[in-house]
Amino acid sequence: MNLKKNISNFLIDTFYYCVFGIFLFVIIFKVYTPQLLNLGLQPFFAFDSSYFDYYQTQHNSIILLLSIFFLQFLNYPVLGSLLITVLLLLLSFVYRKIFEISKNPNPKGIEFIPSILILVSLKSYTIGLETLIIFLLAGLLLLGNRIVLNMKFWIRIGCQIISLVIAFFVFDLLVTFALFAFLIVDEIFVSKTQKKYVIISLNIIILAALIYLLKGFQISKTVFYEAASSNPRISISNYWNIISIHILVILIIGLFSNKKWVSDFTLRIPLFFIRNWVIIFLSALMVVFYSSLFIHEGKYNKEIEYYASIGKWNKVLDYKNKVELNDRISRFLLNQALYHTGRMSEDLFLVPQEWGEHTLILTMTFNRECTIYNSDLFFDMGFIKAAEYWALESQTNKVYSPRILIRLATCALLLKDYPVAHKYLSVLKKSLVYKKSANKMLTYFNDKDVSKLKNKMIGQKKIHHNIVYINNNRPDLNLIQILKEDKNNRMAFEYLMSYYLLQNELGAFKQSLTNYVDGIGFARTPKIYQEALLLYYMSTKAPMEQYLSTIDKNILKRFSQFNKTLIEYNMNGKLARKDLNKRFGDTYWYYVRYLSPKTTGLNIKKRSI
Amino acid sequence: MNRIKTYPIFSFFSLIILISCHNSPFKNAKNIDALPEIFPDYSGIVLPPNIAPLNFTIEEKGIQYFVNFNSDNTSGFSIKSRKPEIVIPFSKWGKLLKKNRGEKIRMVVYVRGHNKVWKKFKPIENIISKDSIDSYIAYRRINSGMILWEDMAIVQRNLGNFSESDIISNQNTENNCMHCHTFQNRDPNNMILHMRRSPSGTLIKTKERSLWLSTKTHYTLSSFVYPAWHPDGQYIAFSTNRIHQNFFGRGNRINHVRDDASDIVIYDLYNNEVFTTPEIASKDFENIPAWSPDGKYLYYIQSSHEFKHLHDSLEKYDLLRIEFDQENKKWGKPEMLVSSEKTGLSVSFPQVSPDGRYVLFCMADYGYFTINNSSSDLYLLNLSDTTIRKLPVNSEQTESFPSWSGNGHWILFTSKRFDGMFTLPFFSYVDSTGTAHKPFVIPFENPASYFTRLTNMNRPVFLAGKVEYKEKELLEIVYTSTEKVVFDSIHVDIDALTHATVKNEPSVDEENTLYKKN
Repeated sequence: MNLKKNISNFLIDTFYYCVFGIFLFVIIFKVYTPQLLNLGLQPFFAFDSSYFDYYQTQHNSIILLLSIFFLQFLNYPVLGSLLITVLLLLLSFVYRKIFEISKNPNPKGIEFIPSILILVSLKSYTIGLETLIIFLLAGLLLLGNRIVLNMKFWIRIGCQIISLVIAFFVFDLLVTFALFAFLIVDEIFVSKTQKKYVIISLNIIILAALIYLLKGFQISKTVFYEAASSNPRISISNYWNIISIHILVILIIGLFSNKKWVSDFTLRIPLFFIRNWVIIFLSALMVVFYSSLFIHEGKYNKEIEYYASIGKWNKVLDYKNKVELNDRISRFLLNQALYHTGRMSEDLFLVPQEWGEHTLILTMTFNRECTIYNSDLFFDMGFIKAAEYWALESQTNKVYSPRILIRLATCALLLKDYPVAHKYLSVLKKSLVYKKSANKMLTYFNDKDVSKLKNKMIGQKKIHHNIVYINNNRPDLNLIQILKEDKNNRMAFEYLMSYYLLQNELGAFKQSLTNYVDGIGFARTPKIYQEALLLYYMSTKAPMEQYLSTIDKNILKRFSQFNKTLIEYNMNGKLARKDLNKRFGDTYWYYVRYLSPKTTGLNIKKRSI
Repeated sequence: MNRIKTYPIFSFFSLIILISCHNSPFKNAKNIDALPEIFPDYSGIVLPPNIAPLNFTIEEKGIQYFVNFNSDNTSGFSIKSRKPEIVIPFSKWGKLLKKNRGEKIRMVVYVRGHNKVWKKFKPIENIISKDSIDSYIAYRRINSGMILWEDMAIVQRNLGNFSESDIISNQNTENNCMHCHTFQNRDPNNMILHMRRSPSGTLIKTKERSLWLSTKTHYTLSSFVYPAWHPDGQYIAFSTNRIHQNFFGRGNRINHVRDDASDIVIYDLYNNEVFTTPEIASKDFENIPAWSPDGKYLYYIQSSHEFKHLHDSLEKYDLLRIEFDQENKKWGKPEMLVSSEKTGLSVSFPQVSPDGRYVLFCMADYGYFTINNSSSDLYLLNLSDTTIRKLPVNSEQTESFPSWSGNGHWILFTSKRFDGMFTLPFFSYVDSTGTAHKPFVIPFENPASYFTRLTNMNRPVFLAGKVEYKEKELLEIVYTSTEKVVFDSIHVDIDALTHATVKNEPSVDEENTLYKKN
């Protein structure tokens, strides 16, 4: 009878888990984009002693390496989705076991709640996965502690000390405190020993000793901490809130798995279903709280970056009105999207340009977060030396970023610097994920294959071996050098024009337009250029008959309307702004008057963002 | 009965012997009259008797590898491996070196190819010197970026084994920049370190003193930069520099560091005073000081101020020295030792040998910051006859930051010879005639690390022992309030100093000078 019942329960449970698993897989595969979870984190795991040595010097915890090992597989959508599904199921299973040991009459399915919480958090493309792994391992530790509760004093204290030490070095410090809190709660409410207060005291001493010994040093740095501390665009508002969520969830699960506490609690709530609703209510509250911690716009950052990385520039432009002022990288990518969709010279002000030229090309006012994007830009332009230079700078952000390593290897190959290329590829091939492509690139060390690679990567653009200096303060000088070597380099041309326009340097703009426009082959002078030329001629007091015929009639008409509108508001720019924005927000004139940093006085500090 | 019992045993042992004979590389090996390709190239070198095992990778294609280490005195030991990476056991290596001081050792490499045939290569012969090498080096771990940095640390590495530890890491100092680590006469107890960006200052730690200094004064160009500690310990020569950098695209150089002005000043550690003399603080560019081992001479490089407005490639530095009477703080007259006009090259990083006979230095086609200049090579000046010799340790890539071991028989320098990008320390034995032998790279436990290590071992210096200071101790000094150094404006003729004198409070701080617009 019992056997039949057990088999029946087993089959029912398996059925529930299978259904939940399929549900999770479909949701993750269809709704989420696993690769998005890796953007910014750039997990890279190499079976290499130099790699492990490096991570050791970073005072990183084992959980970081563990997380990275799993996260790297998110590069493959199916495998990544499967991996996340398995981890979420495992988490549910572990908490189920915790409840079973506590002999709690919990409603079926409550163990799925943590998994659902994690799944919800994944929608913000943040650190949900790392949290998942922490929960999983925390759950295992809790489980282990539950199993030894009824064992002899010395075994129990030994196990508790071991789990505290492991938690201390592997997890965040506050997760350790959470686990520590459970040990205390278990001892007080569950343990049958008379020596419970001795055990509690010993645990407190051990924890205090651990903290004292490593006082002032970083004890462990998880993927989360790394992402949160180094990436100002990470989608969280408060690091400590996130940590407290870890503790909260562990506490709730742990407390509800504590038989005595639940029994006492339920005595006051006679109805079974009310008790269950309380659990569900608390869980739902946590979901809301958890989700509310993430900056909504942070999600957009990731999506913009993802679409830019796969070349879906039209989709990038869909976010043009959703980007925050301080999000320099997203604005930079929007400008790139303008170029790649052929709209830079016509619709430069379709995207917000309050940063002026500082979101067109990243100059000295950057932090290391931005450097890889500058590398991307120059790579697209064909200025490989600059692409390599900026990639080297970005490596200070993340030495083992596969994106950066691939860029460095590619640049070295294109520059025919085979020993350097060999070095980076040797690192990449130590990774399961990049091994194949790295081995393939290692066969390219000859002129023929390098030439093919060059055509594939940058088409007919020249590599510009002869440009000597990288001018990281005056990129316009490099752009001019590019154009002198390759007059057909449209990207360099449009960026140069846009750079001067955004800087309000009309003289330089006019000069460069005269010098280089012939190589580009415009059917007609682009709209924005005409708007700027109009301002230029007026500022130089050139005779009208000299330029009026060169400017499109519609543009002249609009300019006239722009000025009329201003006059209607008695030249009061503040009052006129809304109206002008509505009708002329896409013009250069509006930019110069209202948006240019030279007008607004926007303080662009060194190393901002 | 006995025959029946012994037959299987006999057969078993015969089989074992047969198999062994069949697999023994010695009998069937085909002799190859060439040295095997190994990486790093540890062939034909002179080794110190206290160096860690020189693990290497065999670059000959094969499925099995066998290396026999032996000498005339010892039968040695062998290593068999299915992988080309050869990791030499510590104790066996140590014994081999110990028993063969002053003698030759051989490495015989066998490689078994896909056709199952063993090839035996010509033995690699190396000599074990009688002269030991200093037990440690200290270097700066740094990425390859030119402007930004993140992870940086001053690291000490035991040359007798592979152990490394951070002396101090910038992860505990808000990821600031650490540079110009220097030890007085290779004494690990006396160290200097500059830090840039908060916390910013100069850390000086000796057994008697723990100082965190703010070294910019009203009369000096900048905070202290390149240091040289007087052998007696009281004085430290520093350059002060207004630096700017140009960044080259890929090619021979990645960045060029150039000064708009530079001088040399002396810091009196006991009295917290800075002083100088017009000869080393003129309108010309005095830089990169170094002391003679007896402390009587200050060596330095100097470039004409006329180069300031000319193209980068024309600035060249000479090597000079000036006598210094430390008792009376009196100076002699500068003496030209190596003229860039005569050599056509620019001198940098002079280092006087412990016996005072030689000056080891770099020369490159221009400039002084030679780490990114592939034309930089090492030279030796014989002070007795003033002859200059280019050392046979150079490569097509840069050689820079040279230094001497305590006994004067080993030189340490950095080179980018493997790939032109990453810096590694190299050692070379210098015999009593001043001849430098073939250099060898620092050994790593995993010989594949040369291909995968992504950080630079920058500016390595010898240490006579381990730095015992705990990082916590050093950090406590860094996070105390800074002590300002005082310029001795009473005894120094300020007006005579063309460049050390600044009439108004300078408007640029040390950091901004590094990011000055081109």
